[in-house]
Amino acid sequence: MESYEIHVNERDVRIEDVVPREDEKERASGCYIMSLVAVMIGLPMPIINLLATGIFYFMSRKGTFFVRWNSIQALISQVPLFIMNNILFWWTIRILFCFTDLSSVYIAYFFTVNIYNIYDFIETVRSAVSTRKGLIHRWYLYSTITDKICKR
Amino acid sequence: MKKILKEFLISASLFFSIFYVTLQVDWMKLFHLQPTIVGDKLSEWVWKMAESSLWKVNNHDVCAPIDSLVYEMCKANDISMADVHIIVNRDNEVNAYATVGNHLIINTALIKKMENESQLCAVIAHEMAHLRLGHIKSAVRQQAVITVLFTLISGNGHSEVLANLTSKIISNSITRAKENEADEHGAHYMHAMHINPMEMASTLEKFESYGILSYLMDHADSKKRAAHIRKMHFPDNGPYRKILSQETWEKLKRACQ
Repeated sequence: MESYEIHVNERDVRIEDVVPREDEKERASGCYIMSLVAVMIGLPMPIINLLATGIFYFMSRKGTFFVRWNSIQALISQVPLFIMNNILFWWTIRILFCFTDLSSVYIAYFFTVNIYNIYDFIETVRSAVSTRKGLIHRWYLYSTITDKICKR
Repeated sequence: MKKILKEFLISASLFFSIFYVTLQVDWMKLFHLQPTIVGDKLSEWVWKMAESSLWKVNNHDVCAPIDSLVYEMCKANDISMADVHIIVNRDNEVNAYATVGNHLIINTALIKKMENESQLCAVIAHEMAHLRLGHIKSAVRQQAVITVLFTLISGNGHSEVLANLTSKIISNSITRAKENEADEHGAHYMHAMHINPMEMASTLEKFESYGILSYLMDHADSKKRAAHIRKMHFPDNGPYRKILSQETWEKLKRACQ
């Protein structure tokens, strides 16, 4: 039987100190996989990945600290992506519907957002794999915000 | 909180630095792209579909006089003939419209209704002014997207429906101010080719008296527009002339029966 530590009444315990159970690892990893799948299915519609991660967060918010922490990090990681992709999406629609012309600024933004999307995709895969192993993959900035929001 | 702010600033700076670097490249030049490439490509595609629904008239008695009128108009107004493609379409609807790819479609029913070459010139000048002033371009490009969506939704390209949609929606999307502007420019085109510009006003009034609903629906307030032309002042440029002989004009009318 697998053993794990329970930190009772320790609000400031670090996420790294938590030893998750097998089902926790699976659920926490699912948060990242959910956003990955949502990105792949609903790539042209940037709202879909945020919605999917949001729904998964609401489903997991009554879960354990490990699951909550990872679902919040997954959710936060989708917010900037949602904003950037939304701008790109509506800009593209405006070009396609001829309300504005294609420009170098649009292409520059397209490349920048794609670089960010690739970075986000790689980090999400790494997080999903690490979480499944029971490890914590900390994202720059997002993990700091998650630490602040998610208390035990 | 300070840590979050610091990390946020670093992340934002990194993002904007990448954006700034990519901004330094002239991508349009690098990929040989035109700013209007999307609309132009769609317009091309729509034109190919719309073209198939037209009954092009290749009769020499029809094409030659129309070409002569357009040639004289282009010559007098420094317009390249290559920039305008005139197509005479066998159709019972009294209509003429400018559409994608600088095409100017004139229906045979319209030619049949015209009493003289000046009236026909007025219609051609008005539509050519729309093309030259860029009124059609944006409307056409937007219409092209609507047509593409229509085709995708319906699953096939009913080109006749598409052609009708194209002319109707483009005409309706042109505002009254633009119609007046096209009338004014058209009248100047006629004046430059030594044709009485007041024929533009007479043509508009005649359309109303004919009760040609299709044309009036698309080009509302013909009376007001005619009055606007009548108020315009044109410098005297000698006697007005006729481009086509009476015989050629009658042949043209007969060929359009």
